[in-house]
Amino acid sequence: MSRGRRAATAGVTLTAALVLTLAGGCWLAAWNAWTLMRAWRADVKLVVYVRDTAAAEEIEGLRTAIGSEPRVRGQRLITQAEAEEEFLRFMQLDRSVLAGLGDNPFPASIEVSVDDIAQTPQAMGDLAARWSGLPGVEEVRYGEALLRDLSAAARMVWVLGAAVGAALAAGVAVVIGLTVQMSFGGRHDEIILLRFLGASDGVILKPFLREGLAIGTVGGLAASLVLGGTWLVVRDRWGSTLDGLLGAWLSRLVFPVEFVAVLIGLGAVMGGIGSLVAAKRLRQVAP
Amino acid sequence: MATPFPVAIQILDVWKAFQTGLDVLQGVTFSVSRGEAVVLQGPTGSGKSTLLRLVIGAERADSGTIMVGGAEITGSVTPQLAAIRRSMGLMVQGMPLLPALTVAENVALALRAVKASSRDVRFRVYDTLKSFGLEGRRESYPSQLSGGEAQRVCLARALVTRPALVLADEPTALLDRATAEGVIAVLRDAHVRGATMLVATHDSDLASRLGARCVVLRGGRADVGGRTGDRG
Repeated sequence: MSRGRRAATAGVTLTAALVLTLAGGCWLAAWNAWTLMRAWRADVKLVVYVRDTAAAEEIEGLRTAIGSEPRVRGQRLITQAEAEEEFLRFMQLDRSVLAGLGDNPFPASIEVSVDDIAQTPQAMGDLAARWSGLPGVEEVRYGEALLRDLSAAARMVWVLGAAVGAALAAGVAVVIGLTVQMSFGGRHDEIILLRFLGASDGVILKPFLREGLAIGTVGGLAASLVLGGTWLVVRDRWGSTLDGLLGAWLSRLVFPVEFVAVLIGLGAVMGGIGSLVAAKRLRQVAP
Repeated sequence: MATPFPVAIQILDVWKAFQTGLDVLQGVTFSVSRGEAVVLQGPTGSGKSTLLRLVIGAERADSGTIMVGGAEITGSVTPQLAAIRRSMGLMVQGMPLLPALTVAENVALALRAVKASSRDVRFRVYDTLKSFGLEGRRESYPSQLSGGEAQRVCLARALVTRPALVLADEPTALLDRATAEGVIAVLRDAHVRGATMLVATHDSDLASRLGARCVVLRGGRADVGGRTGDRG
């Protein structure tokens, strides 16, 4: 391989790596944003407020009814006393503040967490409506607006990330395809000669396909190293600082090992596709 | 196993005009039998090279029929034409040595085309270069070769696959007498081993030294002559 062609191949491999890094970064961001949204959504709980007049048996009946729902993952009863304690702790207030209010004004409640499938505004709304009619229930609340916003944001991030990532991946195929096409031009004499010698299309195409696959694979590997390395550096060096700032969000983010295989595989596939598309020109080369 | 086609090359009433309108070939007809050596002679511009290019399908005849091994050559690149070319050893115009490849790599190209194994490629390239006295030039690039050496490398590339049919255009042109003798000896060896030969040349002695029949192209037509010497 001539020095010029080596330099051109190295340049394209770098470009492919860069585009794959951007594509991978988009997917990683989309994946993590989606994971984070799901985690936040899982934190949204249904709160069933119990009437002050509800007897202990009534509350127990409520808990049984709630527990019988297949989508319920867990529940916790918060008594009036516990609610008051929690309020004072959260507000960092002294008990004397509540002295003038007479009886404990905080209602007892049951905090209910639901599984993934029920973590949608629709499903939670249905549960809330059903439980509101149960005896002893004052009202049922959940972060409806928050849940709706989180769901919409998760969907948007996912779609946007996937779309940008897909466009960039297609860009990799185009970049590699153009390179292979240039390669055809650069090796025109060799192709003509191979045609004279009776080489089949497959024999002629093989080195170009190999070149495309190699560029894509190396690009994918380089992109994985860059993204993985960045991930490790950010987590190890600034992890605790960011956790402090972001409320332990960083610990919820992931860099899936499978992602490396996906990027390398995708690079190879895009390289192969680019080469095959470019190889259409092969038919035009005929002595 | 099918009986080999007795006529290796059949050229029937072939016409070819250049873009300038000049009819370079005007109803050329002759055939080359399997195992036979034929030398095409004629003055410059008589159509020798054009005829060879028609036989290998690099150009299309205006009319007439060209058959190689029983298959018609139409001038379009098809898998069938590729298969026919794989049975040929070619040393014609438009097949220079690739400057970016070494001598060994250039010769190996012919074996790559026939999908020879890497081991076979190594062995046969070495063997062929040795028989051409080029083993010391294996790693040289074409720009480092003399004209005679480059000519021999082209011939080595044509013969490395041990083809059944050899087509060569001016194989001894630009060579000094000693080098030309070497090239002729190699061609004669290939012929003795059974290869069919069609060689275009200005060299009037080549036919006799190769033990070949002579076909003279003159005025666009073929003057089919007899054998000018003994084989071997």
